[in-house]
Amino acid sequence: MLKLMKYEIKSVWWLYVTSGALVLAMAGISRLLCLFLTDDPEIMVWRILPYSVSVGLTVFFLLAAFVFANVIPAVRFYQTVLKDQGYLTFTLPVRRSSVYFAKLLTGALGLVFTLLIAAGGVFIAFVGTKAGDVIDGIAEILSIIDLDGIVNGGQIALFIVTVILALLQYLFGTSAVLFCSMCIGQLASGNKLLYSILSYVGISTAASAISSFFSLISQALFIDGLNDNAAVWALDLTSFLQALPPFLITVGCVITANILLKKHLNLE
Amino acid sequence: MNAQNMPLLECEHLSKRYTKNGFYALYDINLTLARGRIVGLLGPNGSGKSTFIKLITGLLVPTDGTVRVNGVEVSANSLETRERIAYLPERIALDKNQRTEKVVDFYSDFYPNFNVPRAYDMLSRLGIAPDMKLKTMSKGMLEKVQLILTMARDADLYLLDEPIAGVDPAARDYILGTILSCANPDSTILLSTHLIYDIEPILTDAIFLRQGQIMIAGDANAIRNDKGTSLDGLFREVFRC
Repeated sequence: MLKLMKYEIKSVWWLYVTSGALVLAMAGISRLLCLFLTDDPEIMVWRILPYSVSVGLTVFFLLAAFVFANVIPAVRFYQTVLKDQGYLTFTLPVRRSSVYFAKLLTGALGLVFTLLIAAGGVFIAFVGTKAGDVIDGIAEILSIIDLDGIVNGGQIALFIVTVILALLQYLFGTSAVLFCSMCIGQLASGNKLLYSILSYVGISTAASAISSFFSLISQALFIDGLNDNAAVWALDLTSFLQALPPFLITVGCVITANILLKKHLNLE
Repeated sequence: MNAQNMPLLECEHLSKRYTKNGFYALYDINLTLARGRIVGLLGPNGSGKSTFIKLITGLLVPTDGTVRVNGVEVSANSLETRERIAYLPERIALDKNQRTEKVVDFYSDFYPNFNVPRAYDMLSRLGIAPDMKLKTMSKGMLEKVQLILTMARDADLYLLDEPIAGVDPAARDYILGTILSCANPDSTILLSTHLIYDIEPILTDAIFLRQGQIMIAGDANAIRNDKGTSLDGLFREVFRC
């Protein structure tokens, strides 16, 4: 599988690097323009416009980088598994599950890379600037949350499991659902792309509905007040119950995709 | 049974039905192929040639029956059979963004029986430089590169799906020459085509497929003697519209 990942990374690294470079470059420009801001209202008017544009573009590139990081694995999967390159991929002497997990893990690595780039971009562009006050404000709000209370008052194991589930869901969730949708779509005898999109919409809708249901149920059942230990414990349980369904759907998608690739591959 | 005496390819009651129309693309195929043969899989479009080849590679799962290569049953995870089979698909399966040398590296990394010097030798004879990008090549050139990569493997069974379809006569000669130069006494080449005239001289065996079923199969000379005509003549007679 490492060999497969090596070739997967070789094929896509430049896409992530290009998108990351754009984010960092835009963040650098924002920071540079920020240095020219002044309190003089007459000059300020002319200098705040390019600064605002650069901040807007930085945020846009940041968001685009995350979208891109989720789209790249899906496009690669489609091209190398379900289109013409699949003839080569599936006649390699490697397990089909290895092919699948190599692509899933490479996608997760891309997301981690994008996350680091985004953090770097935010730091360069905003930290220590006036715009950074917003970030400082968010950090201040987050610091109000009594993390010790949540962890100590609740169940530390449950808290850790919840965090791990959420992390795994973040890293693999989107790719797993997209891969699964495409595998379901390729079962169709025609209009495979359309069926893939419909599958994606179906799975995503089901995932959202189940998550919302669990969220509402758990809140209704467990949270009455937040001042005693029992309620804090209940908060942990609620968070766990909210994180569990998307994670289980991701696991279901991974299993389904592997079964379809192994037993029902339908390359035309 | 000694591996050398064992049939290279065995198909038993092999069938494939597509869900599309519920019809059998291949029905109840029973076939055994020995080593050291060049076998023509002959039939008109839609006769089940590609389906048959995909079943042998494991790209398709049979509806019924089994395929064995070297006595090992082909399945989605049969790595052993995939190492022994060299498959040339009917379409370009290479990543066109890669350079030739990277594709050669890829093949040599994954296939232990890939012969790198042989691949570069054949590529250089075609005038293809190692740093040439695949996307700069014509379709005909890409087909030749893909054939070279397939034939540069020391495989037991070569499955060539329509290797000469859609190429000019000069390219056909090159392709057939490459196939013959890479053939060895222990391996078998199964190539599908409906252009019988061009490949007839190199065939030792022939399989005629019609609507997913074997009509005639056997030694090419025996078929010619038995039917009193060439394989090409027989094909035109059998598949006359």
